[in-house]
Amino acid sequence: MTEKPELDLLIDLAKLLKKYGADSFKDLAKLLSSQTITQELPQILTKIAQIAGTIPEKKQKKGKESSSYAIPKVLISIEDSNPEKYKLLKEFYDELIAKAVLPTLKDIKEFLQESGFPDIHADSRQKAIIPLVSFLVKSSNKEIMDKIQSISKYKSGNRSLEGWGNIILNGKD
Amino acid sequence: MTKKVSLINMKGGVGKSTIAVNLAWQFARRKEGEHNQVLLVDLDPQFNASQYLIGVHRYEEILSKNIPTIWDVFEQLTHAPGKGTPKPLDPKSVLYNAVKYSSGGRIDLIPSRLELAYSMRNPGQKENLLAQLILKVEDAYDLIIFDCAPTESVLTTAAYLASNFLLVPVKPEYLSTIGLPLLVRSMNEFKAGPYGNSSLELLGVFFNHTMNYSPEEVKSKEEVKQMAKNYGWHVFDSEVSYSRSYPKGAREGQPIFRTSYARTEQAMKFRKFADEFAKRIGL
Repeated sequence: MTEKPELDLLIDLAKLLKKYGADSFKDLAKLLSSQTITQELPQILTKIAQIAGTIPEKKQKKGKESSSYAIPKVLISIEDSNPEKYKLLKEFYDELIAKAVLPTLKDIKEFLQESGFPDIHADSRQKAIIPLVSFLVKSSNKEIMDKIQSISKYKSGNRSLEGWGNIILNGKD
Repeated sequence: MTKKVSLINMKGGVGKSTIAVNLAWQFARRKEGEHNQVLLVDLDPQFNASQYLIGVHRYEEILSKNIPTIWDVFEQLTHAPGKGTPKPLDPKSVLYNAVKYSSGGRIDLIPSRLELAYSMRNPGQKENLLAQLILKVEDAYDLIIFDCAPTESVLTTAAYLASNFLLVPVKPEYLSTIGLPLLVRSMNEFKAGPYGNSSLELLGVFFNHTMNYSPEEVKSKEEVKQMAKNYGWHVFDSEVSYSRSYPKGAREGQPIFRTSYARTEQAMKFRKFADEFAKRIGL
C-alpha cells in the first residue's frame, strides 16, 4: 500500500497486464482518452460494476440494527475470527430474509432433516431462521458450502405441476 | 402518490402475469427510499402471478390458514345462511408478504384463487369493493400492479376503478394484436358509463415476446404502431424480447435478473423496459 490511492490503483492495473495482454491495455487507453469518458469514468465504472454484480451491498454496521433487518449475533461473533465463514453465512442469511431460499417453514424443516440437524420447535419461518444459521455456524466452511449448494431443490419451494395439481383438483395437498 | 397500474389485454397468453411479477421484483429490489414498496394484486382466477411469485408451499399455507385472497375481497359482503350480517374484510389481512429485501424493499401479494371464477357468476355490485380496499392500504405502497384476466367481466371494471393507468402488453402476432382495440373499446365504454369521471389513462402499449426477424412480427408491429398513431396511444420504445429464461424463471420462482441463463442480456433488456415504465408513471 502506498500513501496515494491512485498509485495503488496503478499497481493493481499493472498486475492485470499479464492476464489481458499489452494490446488490450492499448485499446482501453485509446477508449479512455475521450474527454467525455474521462470525466464520467467513475460513474461509468460504478454502473458497470453494479451490472456485473461486483459491488457488494453496504456492510451493516455492528451494533446498529434496523427494525426490519439485523445481523444475528451468532454471525457477528465470527466476523473477525472467521471472515470466510461469515461471508458465506451472511449471504445465505440475506437470501433467507429475502425469502429467496427456503421460503416456508416446511422447507426449512425439510432442509434441517436432510442435513442431519436436529428438528427445531419453531412455529413460524421467521423464528426458524436464527436456529438454522446457528446450526450452520458449527459446521466447517466446506460442509456449509455443500449444504448451501444442495439447497437448490428447495430454492423457491415446491413448484411442481403435481403440487399445483393437488391444490387445483383437491383443494389442498 | 401511489401509482396504480393494471396490466391488461383482452387476449390471453401475451405475458401479463410474467411481466407483472417481474416489474414488481424490479421495483422491490431498489434501494431504500427509491420507491421499492410494491403491492401485486392477482385478479386472474387462473392465479398465474400467485403461482410464479410464491410457489406451492406458500400457497398451501394461504389456503390452510384461511388467509384472505382476492376472492374474499369480492365476497366479503355476500350473505350466507346462518352467518348474520356480513362484516367488511380487514384490508390489511389480505396483504401477504411475498418478498422482503434487507434494503426494506418488498412485494406484498393479494393472491388469487380458482374460486374467483365462480364468484364472478354472481357479479352484482362487487365492482367497487377492490377500489375501496385499495384506498385503505395504498399509502403504504409506491406501486400497485393489478394482473388482470383476459376477459371482459366485473373483474375488468374492478381493475379500471382501482387503477390510474392501463399498461397493455402486445405479442406481435395477428390474433394477439386484435386484443388491443378490444381493450381500448372496453376502456372507452367504461369511461362513457356511470364511472365516466374516472382518471383512468392508457399508459401505453409495449411489445412483449419479440424476436425481431419474422415477417409476421414486423407486420404486426407496423399495424399496431399505425393504429396507436391514429388514436394517440403511446408505444413504448423498449420491448421485452422472447427468452426461454422467462418460463425458466417462473419454474424457479426467480425474477429475470436472477434467472441462471439471463443474468446479462435479457436482464438488461427487461431493466430498460422497467426504467421506461418507471419514467412514464413518474417513479
